[in-house]
Amino acid sequence: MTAKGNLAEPVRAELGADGRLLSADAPLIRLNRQCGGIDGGQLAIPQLADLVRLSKRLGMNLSRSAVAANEESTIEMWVKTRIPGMNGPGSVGIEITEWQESEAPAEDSFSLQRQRDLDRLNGRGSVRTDASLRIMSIFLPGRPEIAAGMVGQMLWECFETLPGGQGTGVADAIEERQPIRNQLMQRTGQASEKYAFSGQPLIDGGGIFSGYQFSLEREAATEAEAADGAKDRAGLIGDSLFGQQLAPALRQPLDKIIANAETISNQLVGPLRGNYSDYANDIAAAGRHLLSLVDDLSDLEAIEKANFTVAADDIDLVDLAHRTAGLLAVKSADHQIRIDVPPEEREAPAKGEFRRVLQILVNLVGNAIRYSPDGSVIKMQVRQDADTISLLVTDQGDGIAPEDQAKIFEKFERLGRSGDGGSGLGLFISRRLAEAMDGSLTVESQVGKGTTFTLTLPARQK
Amino acid sequence: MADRDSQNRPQYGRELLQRAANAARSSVSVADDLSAALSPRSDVRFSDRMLSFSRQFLQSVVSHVEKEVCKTAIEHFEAADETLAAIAGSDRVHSYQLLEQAGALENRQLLKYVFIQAQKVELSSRLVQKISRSELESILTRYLDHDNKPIAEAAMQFLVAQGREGTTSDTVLATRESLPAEILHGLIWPISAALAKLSGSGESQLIAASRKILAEHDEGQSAARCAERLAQLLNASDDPAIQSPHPLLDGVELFVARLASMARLNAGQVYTFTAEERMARLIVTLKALGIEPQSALSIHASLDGNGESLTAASYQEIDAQDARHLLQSWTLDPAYQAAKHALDIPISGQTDR
Repeated sequence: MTAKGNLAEPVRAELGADGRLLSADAPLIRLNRQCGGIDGGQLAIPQLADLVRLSKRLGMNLSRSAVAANEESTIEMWVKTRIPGMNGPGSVGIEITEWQESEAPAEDSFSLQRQRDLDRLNGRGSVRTDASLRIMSIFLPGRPEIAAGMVGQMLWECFETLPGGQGTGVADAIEERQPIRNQLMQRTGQASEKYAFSGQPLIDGGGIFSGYQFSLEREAATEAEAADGAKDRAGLIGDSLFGQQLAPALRQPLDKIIANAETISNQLVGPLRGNYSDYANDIAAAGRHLLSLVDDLSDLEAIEKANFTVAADDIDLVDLAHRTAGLLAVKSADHQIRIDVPPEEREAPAKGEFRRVLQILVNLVGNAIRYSPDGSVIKMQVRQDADTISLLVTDQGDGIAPEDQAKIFEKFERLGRSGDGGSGLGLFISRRLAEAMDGSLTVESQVGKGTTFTLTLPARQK
Repeated sequence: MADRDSQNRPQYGRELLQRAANAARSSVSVADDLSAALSPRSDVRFSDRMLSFSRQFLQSVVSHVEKEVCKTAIEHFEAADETLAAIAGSDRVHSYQLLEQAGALENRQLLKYVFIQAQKVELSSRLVQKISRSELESILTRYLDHDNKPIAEAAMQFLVAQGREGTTSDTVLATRESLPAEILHGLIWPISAALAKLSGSGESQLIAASRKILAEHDEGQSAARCAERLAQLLNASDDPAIQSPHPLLDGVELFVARLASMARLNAGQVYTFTAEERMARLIVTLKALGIEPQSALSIHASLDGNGESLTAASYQEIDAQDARHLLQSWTLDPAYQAAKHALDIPISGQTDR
């Protein structure tokens, strides 16, 4: 989070002849990271990179205004370039004499963060553009090296529209600032790399369009790849009907059912009688339940596959606890449940796959919300041991009897409960995922006194 | 007499031959000229005054740049050519004709810049008919004592730059300092080449002088950039005493810069809006920004030169959402907008869909 308002001191940066950011003041480093840049890498703030390129091409110093944006703020700057910079011929110096931040999109940073976490949880990518459709940040699952090179380029330079998706042309939809739904696009010149784009226009506090936030889902390029992809997702059953055919075939229509039901229930296309809106809500809820069942079954197959592996990302359990609370904020608010998280400044560095740990925590806190009384509190706490680090999720629910505590980690075990939206697979999957990351998932509970689930992972040396 | 005639005849003959050769070359484009005159492709109509100003302004810019290149070549790089020395001390333009014949001035970016200067003068001259010059000059000093130091400093720089460029009156002096970097870069090399051709020597000194001028150029000193900077600060300020942009309060240049900053357009776009028929895009921009009807009417009246009036009823009839959509489409990357127009894809708000 950068400081709001006008910075009194100029913000400076030096770029080498190869365009790499050699040094910069803190606000610029932060903005560069938020735009997808890395320290010591190419300048990733598109508006500044444009000015630097122009300055180098002309061989002249420039003085211009520039407006950049991250997901929290719009930053208006007065930028001066100086060539050569302090690092010899070809280098460029930047001095920003006014740095004024203001709240940017009406869609607040919290919901953008939440959407991005949801995308990553579901294995989807995301793209954020500015008002001129220049890519500000991008996450392509499994393609970080390609994504880094796209920051600063126009969306149309990186992706080509393909037939399919929504009826009206995507260019017209963007022109009219309409939401985009399942528009098929391919990475420019890469026919084998197709994505379904869905996105919303972002409108800032002044009512001005400030860009798009897209979610994107990789499409299988060929039938063979589709089958391979399904196999990857469905390791256990392998050649089974579900793994190869049903899961991918079910997801797409379920997505459409949920999206259309939500459109109807939110009355986006016109007013409805109250009970019709409720019916649409029920349809969307049922669709989401089916979709989570499909996801659980796919995960079940995947984790039972002999060669199932997880990535060892550098993660922070406090950060993940905050993201989990963000993802489930609406659900907990519906039940007036408060989620207490560790203080943001506390650090809990661990090793584990970001997406899988988030999945475990969403499952644990989701269960806690489901089985806790309205108005209660769910606590997330961190515990550091010698080589491990743990996150504890404690609720104020009815608790679990000692004889049932082992059973809850078994497949399809519901302890006699039904109709609450659960599949009986979540804890089984979560424990297997924790073990795959060299960790563990345990439970402690007393009937009538609540339950504590403890996720333990290898600690990471900072 | 007969002797004199016979002496002049060869020169006359050579001149006629040269004219004939030039005519053959230039008349190839006669159809293009007629087509542009009969079927202009833009909504903008050029008055004789604007055309005259544009020609003079362009000549003046070339004159300033060529003079400075020659001076720098002589003072810093020991150029000793007599022609260059004469140009350095002359108030007349020397390379213009050569550049014009070579088509070196038919540069879209340069011509657009000249058009913006012409429109700026046009608007300023309309404004001084509605407000006294002394009033206009006094209101421009009102930010000098502002409590916010950056605003006061930026206002002072703007005032100084305006004084240098003469933009407080109804003209704009062409100076090298006032040129944006791209325009100076685009002009200085053809001018240097023309000077080398005219002088027949001193090429390396002219190149070195051009490089020095480019390296030392500070476009941040121009009135346009100073106005942009002040506009950015004023628009970001939460001081309730700072009023909405208005030509009668800010003058043309600052008003345009403030409106452009608020709408995320560039100043050139706003000047173009003011030159279009009925200033339709300017009105839509005001509506999209939520400018109150009375202010919008007053802004329109102070910039209008054709006696057309905007009524409160017609301003209120404009759908604010449609206006915002249109404004947003104008903020898109210019290359994208140009490609869309070239592909003839309907623009929202202009179709019968």
